[in-house]
Amino acid sequence: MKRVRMRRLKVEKRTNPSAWTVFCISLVSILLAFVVIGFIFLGFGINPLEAYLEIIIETVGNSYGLSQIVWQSIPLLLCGVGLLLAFKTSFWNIGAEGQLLMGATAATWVALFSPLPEPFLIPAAFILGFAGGAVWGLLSTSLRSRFGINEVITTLMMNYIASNIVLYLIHGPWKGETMRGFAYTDQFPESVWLPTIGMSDIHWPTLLLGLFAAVCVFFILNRTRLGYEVKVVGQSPKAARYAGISYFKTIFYVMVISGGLAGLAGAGEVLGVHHMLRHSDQVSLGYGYTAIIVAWLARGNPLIVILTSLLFGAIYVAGDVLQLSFNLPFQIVNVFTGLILFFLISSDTLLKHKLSFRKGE
Amino acid sequence: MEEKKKNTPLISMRSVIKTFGGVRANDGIDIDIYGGEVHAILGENGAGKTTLMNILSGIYRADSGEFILRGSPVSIKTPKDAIRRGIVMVHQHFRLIGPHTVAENVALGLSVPFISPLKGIERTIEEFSARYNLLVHPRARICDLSVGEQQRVEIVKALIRGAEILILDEPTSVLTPQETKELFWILERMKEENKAVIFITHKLEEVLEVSDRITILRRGRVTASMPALDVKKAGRKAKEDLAKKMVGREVLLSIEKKPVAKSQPVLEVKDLRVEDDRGHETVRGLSFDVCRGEVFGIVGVAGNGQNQLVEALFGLRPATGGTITVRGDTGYIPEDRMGMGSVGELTLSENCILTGYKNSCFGTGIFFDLAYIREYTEALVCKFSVTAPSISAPAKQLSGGNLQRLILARELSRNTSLLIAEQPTHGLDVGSIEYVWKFLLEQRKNAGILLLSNDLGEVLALSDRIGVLYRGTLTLFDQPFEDKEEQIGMKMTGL
Repeated sequence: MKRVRMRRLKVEKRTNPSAWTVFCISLVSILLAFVVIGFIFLGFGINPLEAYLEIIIETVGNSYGLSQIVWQSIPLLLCGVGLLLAFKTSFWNIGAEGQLLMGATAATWVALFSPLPEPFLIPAAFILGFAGGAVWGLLSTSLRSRFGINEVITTLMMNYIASNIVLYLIHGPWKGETMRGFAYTDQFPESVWLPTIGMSDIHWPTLLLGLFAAVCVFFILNRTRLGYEVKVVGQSPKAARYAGISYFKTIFYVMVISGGLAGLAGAGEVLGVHHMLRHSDQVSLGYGYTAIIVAWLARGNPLIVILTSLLFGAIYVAGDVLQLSFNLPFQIVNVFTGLILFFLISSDTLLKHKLSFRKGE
Repeated sequence: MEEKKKNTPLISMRSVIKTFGGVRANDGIDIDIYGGEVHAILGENGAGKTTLMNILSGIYRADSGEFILRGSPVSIKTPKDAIRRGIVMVHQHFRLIGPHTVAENVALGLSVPFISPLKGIERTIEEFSARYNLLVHPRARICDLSVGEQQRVEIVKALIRGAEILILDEPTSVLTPQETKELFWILERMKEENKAVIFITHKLEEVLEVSDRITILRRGRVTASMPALDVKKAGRKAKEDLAKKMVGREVLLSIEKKPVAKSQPVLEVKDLRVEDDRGHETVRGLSFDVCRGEVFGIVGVAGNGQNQLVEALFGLRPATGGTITVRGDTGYIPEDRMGMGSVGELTLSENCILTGYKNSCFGTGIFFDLAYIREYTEALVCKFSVTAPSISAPAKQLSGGNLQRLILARELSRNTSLLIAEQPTHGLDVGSIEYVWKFLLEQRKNAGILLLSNDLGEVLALSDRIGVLYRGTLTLFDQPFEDKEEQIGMKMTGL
């Protein structure tokens, strides 16, 4: 009888994957997602290579595409940095979408109804936007601390409540008189429109806030007592109790920042892009949800969120390209992000385990 | 022929070795289990009883060792292998699904028909219940049953799976005396059917009542094995001997203990009462004090109220009665050094400031002084000779001994007036044990030390006074301990 040589898959625990390993595995899982999306293109009767070529030319291939990527990445950056901080605490905030909308609502109130003098309007709109998002996030933390309700459910549900509040306002009390029956608020006075860079749509004050937030959260995590509490609570609630760290105090501060940054993103969208409050699906193209993947992909480093938010900004722009050039529905973006998340989460096993082949008899 | 059958063990284990991260949980164990016998395996927590049984039932795989089932060698790689060979374990924490019914839980893992899968099972359950007088209703939901009834479900489950060798891990720890009696009746019944029962426990008295053979494990080795009848006949002296073999002192190392001047008390506890999570009072009116300059050792088999006592002292659990007075700060070396005493994902320097991170020396306001923290860690790592790749390596890369040195370094350097050390050398190698002991004794100069351990040898070596904790009450012993060793050992086992 012939002796059969078998190769067996050996699974070993990986204690500490290097940054390079993490980068490679993440990259491969994103590429795998693109391969699967290629089949979806085939299903629409489109040559995937042609589609990808078109996407590359229209996104990173010209200055307009590049500016669109940056523009789309702004809300993702702000929400992503905030979510990363919450995830570090193991507080699963799925509610950036609602926090963004409440930030947009608060900023709208400042822009349209506040009695403040003109030069204070934009800063006040950002401050209230931050507060709006923070308060919306804190509702979930108080439900958690008061009744022990899981934050995944409450933060998710609060998204729908926020969305409906926006719809109520634009159909009801805030409905614009100059809008001929459309469900928008009135347009903001031009003095509260955010300045943009040159001919592009990039509203740079929000972008700056986003970059500043990434750096701040990086410092909070690495240099401050709050950051330390965040890491201990996130890794081991038992050790946190032992060290005398209050869980609820920690998630309180974390959600002020996390919700507040999403609120800033919302303020930036209404002040810098729409110049009015409109349907919640138009104010946010699912930024709060996409930011979950943006934060996840950054693997705990807020500075990397700057890169990952650009990647997903590019995917949004790619969705526009597919819509214009190939008549695909814009929802294809959700398929993109969904598949990328799927592969990223699967790749986590590879980060924690090392696979190798060994010869067996 | 009959005689021969009786003399062949149902299963024999030969030189079973199992190592967990450098600690030998099982260090070459030989045991023979015979049909028609209840075989008690006695030992303290951490002696390796549960590990051995997990190996036998296929949950762990031994590093080396042999299993001989009815005279022929077998290999047991998975729980399925074990069940196929008639080896079933009833775990200390039951493997049942609360909201499901008895029948559904029993059916889990059995091959049942696709259509009306529970019909046959329900009938089988009723048959077995009648045969063994195990009254459980197949349609009752698990969460509505008492702990004793849940255990019966586990036993029915095991019998339906065709158990020839039934392993019970600490079966009486959750039972009322009446339920224990019923359990013993069932065991008798199983013996009549020539099945083998392996009974894991640390309660000496009840073992004598029910078992035919007793094996004692200590630190992963068999220290004694004998028929229970011999012990019963020989009376009190033999019991004392067993207790000593189980918790008794093993002269691994000796340590020189210089007396330190004792001064004012740093901890005073009066009539302390504490309940566990289920609302049972596990600390029942304790009174003691700890003075600066002494080690007060509390010794006892695990589960006699130690956890609740420490949690109450450290302020993690409210006391239901009595008073605790601490003069100054409390340092605490927890038993669970991986889950509580350190955070595996964080670096060594981050772990070094776990209990003192609010201290102003580590930085002003909200900011940390990272340079000083690094310096501080370097100094601790050096002084306590922690072997680590670097101070920015995650703590999970440290071995057990080095991790404990790090925790010890952190807690001793805080210079608190009271230090609680809970199982400070559990699972460590001899070198690290000596190290920890030396530093604990050293610390008496600045602090009062409360030592909790279930290793009598350790408590005898370190303590100036000893309290034995049994079922939430304390019996105090004063120096000299030399002639009280046996007395203390007996108190620990409740004799």
